[in-house]
This record gives sequence, C-alpha cells and structure tokens, in this order.
Amino acid sequence: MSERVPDQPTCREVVELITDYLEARLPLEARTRLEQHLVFCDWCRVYLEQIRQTIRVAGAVSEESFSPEKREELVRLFRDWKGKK
Amino acid sequence: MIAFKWLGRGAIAPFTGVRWPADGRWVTAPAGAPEGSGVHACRLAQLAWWVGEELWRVELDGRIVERETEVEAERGRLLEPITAWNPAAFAQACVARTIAFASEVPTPEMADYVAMVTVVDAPTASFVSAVAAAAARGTQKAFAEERALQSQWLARALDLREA
Amino acid sequence: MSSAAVDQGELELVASLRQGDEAAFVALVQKCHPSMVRVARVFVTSQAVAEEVAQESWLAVLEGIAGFEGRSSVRSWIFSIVANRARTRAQREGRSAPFSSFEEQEDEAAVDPDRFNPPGHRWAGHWCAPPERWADEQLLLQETLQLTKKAMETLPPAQRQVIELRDVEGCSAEEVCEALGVSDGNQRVLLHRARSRVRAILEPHLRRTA
Repeated sequence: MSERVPDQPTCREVVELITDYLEARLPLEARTRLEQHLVFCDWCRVYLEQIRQTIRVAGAVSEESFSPEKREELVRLFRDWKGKK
Repeated sequence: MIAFKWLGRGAIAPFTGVRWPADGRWVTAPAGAPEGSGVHACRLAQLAWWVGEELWRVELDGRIVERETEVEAERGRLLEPITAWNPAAFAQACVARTIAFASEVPTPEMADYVAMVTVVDAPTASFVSAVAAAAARGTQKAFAEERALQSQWLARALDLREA
Repeated sequence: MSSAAVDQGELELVASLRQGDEAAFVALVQKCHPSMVRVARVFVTSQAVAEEVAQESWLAVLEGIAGFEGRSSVRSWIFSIVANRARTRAQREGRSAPFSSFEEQEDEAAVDPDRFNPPGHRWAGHWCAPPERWADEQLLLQETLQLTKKAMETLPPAQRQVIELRDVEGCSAEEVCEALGVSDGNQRVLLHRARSRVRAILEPHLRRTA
C-alpha cells in the first residue's frame, strides 16, 4: 500500500513524527499528510492521545512538600547574604 | 468565504479535542501562530480528504490561504450542521468503486482492497478505495483523483453549495 | 505551562528581591526550590547532593539578581544556574561521560517495530498490534504516578533531563535549550525518545480500559 501512495505516511512513520507534530515543528506538507492519516487511522489517534496522556501524567509528578526546616535554612542563607551586602 | 468543516461528535475538533462553539461565535487562530495553525476547512473539491462524524457548513474570514487539500483562515465560525450526511451511503459508494476497480484489474491485491473496504468505516473506505484506484491505474496521482471524485459525490449527494 | 515570556508577577518578585525583601525571597523559594532539586537530581548521583546543589544555587541567584535583565523568565534563568552547578558537581564527582554530549548516536524506534506489519505486507508499516485506549481515570491513580516517576528514572540521563524540564516542570523548548546548552533539534529528539519510552513503560499497566 505505501508503495502505491508513497507520500501518505505509514503508522510507523507517524509515531516517529508525533513529537514534531505536537511541537508544531513539522513542515506544513508533512503535517497535512499526517493529519490526513489520522482521519482514518483510529489506532494512530489512540497513540497520539497516549503521548498526550503521557505528558499529562509527567506533569502531575510532584515533589514532596517543602519542609519548614528547609525553608528556615534558606531564609538563614538569605539573611547571611543580605548582611554581607 | 463559505466552506465546509468535518468535526468529531459534538462539534469536537478531531486532532486537538477542542469543542467548536455551536452558537456560531467566531473562532480566531492565535496571532503569530505558525503557518498551518489557523482555522482549517474544505472547499467542495476537498471534502473527501477529511471525512469525519459531523459535517458543518462554515464561514471563514480574515486572511485565507487555499491549499491543495484544505483552506486555512484566520477566523471561522460554524453556520449549520449538514444533517443529511450519511456515512454508510458514502462508504457503500466507495465499496462499489473498489469492486469496479477489482473487476477491471482482477489481482489478489485488488481482492484485498475489496475485502477491506467492505468492513471499514466511511473515512477508511475513502482511503482504501482511493488506494485501490491508484493500484488499478498504476499511478500515484489516481489516489488524489479518486478523492476528487469522492468529493464530487459528496457535494452532489448532500446538495452542497459554496456560494 | 510556563513559556519563555516574562511573567509580570515574577518581575515584581525580582524587583522586591533586589531591595532585600525577605518575603519576596520566600515566595520565590516556595515557587522554585522543589523543581530545582528535581532538575539537579537528573545530573547528580543522590537526592542529598541534589539538595546541596539547589541550596548553593540560591546563593548564586542572590548574587546574580542585580544583573538579571529579564530577557528570559526568572525560572529559566534559575534552572540554567542549577543545571550548570549540577553538571559541574557531577563532573567533579567523577561521572564518566560528560553530560555535554547530547548527541544520541544510535537510532531508537519510538515503538517496537514488531508492532507494525513488515515490508512486503499489503499494509506494510501499519499497526498489527495497535495500542488500546487508556482510560483517563487510570492516569490519575497514585500507582500511575509512581510508575511514571520510576519510568523517568530509567531513562538515559540526557532524555531524562529534557523530559523533566519540559513535561514535569513545564519549561518551554527555549528554556530547556538554554538550561542544557543544546540545540532545539537535539532537544526535540531527546524529548521524542523520552516520551516514547515512558509511554511504552506505562502501556502494559494501562492496557485494560475501564
């Protein structure tokens, strides 16, 4: 099939282009072809959504809360610095 | 400019998941966004490339760029849904075309396309029958030509006007 | 998500900080310190060392604040400081490869090639073992978060640095290039590989949709 229409990306090609697509760094023609593929390819749409979900979960990874002791240490650092200025 | 736009169920943009306002409010692309980030829509001759669940008649405004398979505008708004859109009928038309190609060129490859086109949804049927056209004609440009014919079919079947 | 655009609130914090305003310092610390530790952590060998590096970086921030011109965001500037100190510290501790080598030599496929039809197949290159939709509810579970954290820890350092800064900390591409001293193209390759790997690690755990 891809030999019949070589300018239409395969799914394998789409998954490699997905970051450039999300970053809006695909050249216009490639972007259009990728979107044309997504029109009929549910699986690649699922993949695209999974990458978006991966980004969302990564964004939710958060640090342990910031302890008062740590805060005090840094405030002391600040006062030292201020004192020396 | 009057044009047409394919959306997911509930007027959702298919690639971003953003919902289009059904009340006809204008949607404007962010200023300074890269080329290709504007409002996308189809002229009648481009309908088959973007088949989705819902078809809407839209109005476009501002700077408009016409490209091979789409138009892009700075601003757009939904005017009305094309309720006559019948994906099954369109898919059936694609099946008929594929069967016709296969009878012209009876190869195992063409038989595979027939087998596939009969079991898939409308957007995939559009793609597969266009691939079958390219296989039957032996040229890549037959793919785009078949899409153009499919677009004509849609425009006629749904009685769409651009004016 | 932050961008390289300067944040008005941040500018006011900076102005107050220059005047020696302790409350402004505390506000900035609460905003940035945990992220700074995370950023340092991808360069150095331990949490404790990452804490030290973040702490030392505050001194550098205070000393440099008078000269901060606001051409990048405060966060971006602070992250560059942390990244530089962390990198230096890592080198001093004898980490083998200098982290300045961000050139990823080998090709790395985003998805196992076996999941696609091989060349010669009618639908060569199309999925033969396609992905299954993940339920959004599963993403919010603690287990998923923990798994994601662990997944990022397994990444090669350069990939980890980029995904931490871009997707965990929400830095823009420009901020990351500045903090890590890499080109936009490099940053994007690393981000691509990192996200692909994390997705692949999550997949078997999230396969069953609700």
